[in-house]
Amino acid sequence: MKGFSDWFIEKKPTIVYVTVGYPSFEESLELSRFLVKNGFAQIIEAGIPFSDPIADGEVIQKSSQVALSNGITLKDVAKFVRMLKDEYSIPIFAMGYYNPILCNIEYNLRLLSESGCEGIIVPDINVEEVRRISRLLKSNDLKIVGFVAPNTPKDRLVKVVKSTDGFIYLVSSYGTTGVRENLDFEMLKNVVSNIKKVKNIPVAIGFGIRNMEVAKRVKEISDGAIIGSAVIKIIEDNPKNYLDKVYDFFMEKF
Amino acid sequence: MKGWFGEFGGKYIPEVLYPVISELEKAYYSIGKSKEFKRELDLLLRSYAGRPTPLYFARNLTKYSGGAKIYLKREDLLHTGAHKINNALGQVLLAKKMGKRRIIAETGAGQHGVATATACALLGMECVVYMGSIDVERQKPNVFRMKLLGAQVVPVSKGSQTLKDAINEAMRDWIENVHTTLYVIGSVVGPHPYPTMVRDFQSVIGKEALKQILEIEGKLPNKVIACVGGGSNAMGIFYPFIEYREVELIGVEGGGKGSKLGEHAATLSFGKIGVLHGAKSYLLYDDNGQVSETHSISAGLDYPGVGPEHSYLKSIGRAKYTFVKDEEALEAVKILSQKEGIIPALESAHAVYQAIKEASKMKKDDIIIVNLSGRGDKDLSIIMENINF
Repeated sequence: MKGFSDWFIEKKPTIVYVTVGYPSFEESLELSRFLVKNGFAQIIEAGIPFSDPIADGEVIQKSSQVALSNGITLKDVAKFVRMLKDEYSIPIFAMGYYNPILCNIEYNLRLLSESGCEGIIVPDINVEEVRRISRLLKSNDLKIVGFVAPNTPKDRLVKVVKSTDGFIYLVSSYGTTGVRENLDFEMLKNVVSNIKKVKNIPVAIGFGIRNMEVAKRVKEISDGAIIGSAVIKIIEDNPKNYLDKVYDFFMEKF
Repeated sequence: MKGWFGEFGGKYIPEVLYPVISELEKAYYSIGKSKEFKRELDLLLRSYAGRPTPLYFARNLTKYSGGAKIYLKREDLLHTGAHKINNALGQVLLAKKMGKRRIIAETGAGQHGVATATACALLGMECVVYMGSIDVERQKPNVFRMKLLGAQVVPVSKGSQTLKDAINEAMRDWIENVHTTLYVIGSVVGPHPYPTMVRDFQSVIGKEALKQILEIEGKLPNKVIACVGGGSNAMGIFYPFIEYREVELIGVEGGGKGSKLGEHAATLSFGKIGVLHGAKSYLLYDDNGQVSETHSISAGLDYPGVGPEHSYLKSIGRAKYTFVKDEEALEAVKILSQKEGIIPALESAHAVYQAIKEASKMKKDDIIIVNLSGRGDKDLSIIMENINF
């Protein structure tokens, strides 16, 4: 879509990851509505569960396992996106490992596109593969998100940024997904500026954003903050009243 | 292109792993390919691991099969009882030269874990082995062996609690500890450079076998047969024979109990192209792309993926892949034990069974080489549960 990039850079969105089907399909949908309605999230990442999530820490692994045992498939994720898009106009990206997308790629990308997905976020894809499927992505009007880490070398960073048309997901630190104590803002600021030198593309920082104060600081040096396991952890710790706790989290009550 | 075998292989990994994988790739192509490194590894393989291994003419088995001559490449005679030590010594030595001090590894049956723990003890490295809780339970002697060798064994109680989950957990450890640690993968799987590097370290098997058969018989074998889980022993023996197109290469997968998804581990026979553990290759998964559980009586074959180079050899028709069921492998264990006085590992027994079958249909002066990748001591408790006297 035209103007996505400008909108993103101006809006400085908070991007929230939701595992579709955790704790149940209905509840994950309700959570997303809650996040959007209250203005907590300006972009939703709709998580496709996978049997072997190697880049994820304990919290997201567990949610993925629960979603799988609830029988959630990519089709359900598409349905989730469509239901949300029917009510709200915010951008939604489908996020998940490559195999469940690759296994029937033409059909799956069309399904996601028709549901109103803005693009896909795939942590274990690579530049060559993105090139291989780029025509399919284009014809389905789906954007691809590129990953950059603090240790990504310059030449590689250039390749990743050039092959990305959605936004750059800047991984804040080493390790799997999960809440971390400290982020190195100075270093991250440098990486953001290296990315921007290649192309004026939105950069959002994710991994280890433990509260809204960190999110605010992250937005000072980039275009957006991605909150993943923090919200999932709240659900896990407060199965009965997690919506209240999620509200408190975004209202900076902890 | 480097790291791709046709459309298979590549690096399908989280971004944080790229730099460390590149570091390993560079180290492998500089240090690992240097004369000095090769000399040092060769010395370890000879003086410590017990190379070269014999190529043994199995006269009684040949007579029993009633056809082609069957030769056994005796990797079962190596230190720690299987071909896994070839690769473990290579990778741990490389890690040491790279200045790493901590080694992580995954293991299913425990053979790669034991081999890695052994190499770490020898070369003075810290060693952590990830192993599915179910495997920890069914391979107790190997767990104790690893501990005795000074390794820390971490049981993984996630997912199916077997090899694939041990790999997931080892990768997560690596993502967290990229600076100090090298992940020593036990098969020709994972992102580039692993499939190539592990194949190179294991190809000593095929190089020896090629030289030996020419010395003994003065001609090439008609067939080379090996079992395939991830596929390291098979790639190791196949590789030097690939250029001799008249030599038929046959990989034997774990046929388990049946042909339904979940009942076997025959990835190349029943799988589809997919991505797992950093590479594109054949893979067993359901209609939704979720990786399937597998079954094989042999823990070493009980894996839903397979090395990308095997997928490539299959796609170009250079190697053919088939499967042998649990009960047939058990039968081969009994036959080889009683005809030759050799108790094979359950993995290797799959190849032995296929060899007997093939030999019976061939001429008397035809030749088959079987890679006897490991010995059966580790499997005694499983064999005892299944064979009665």
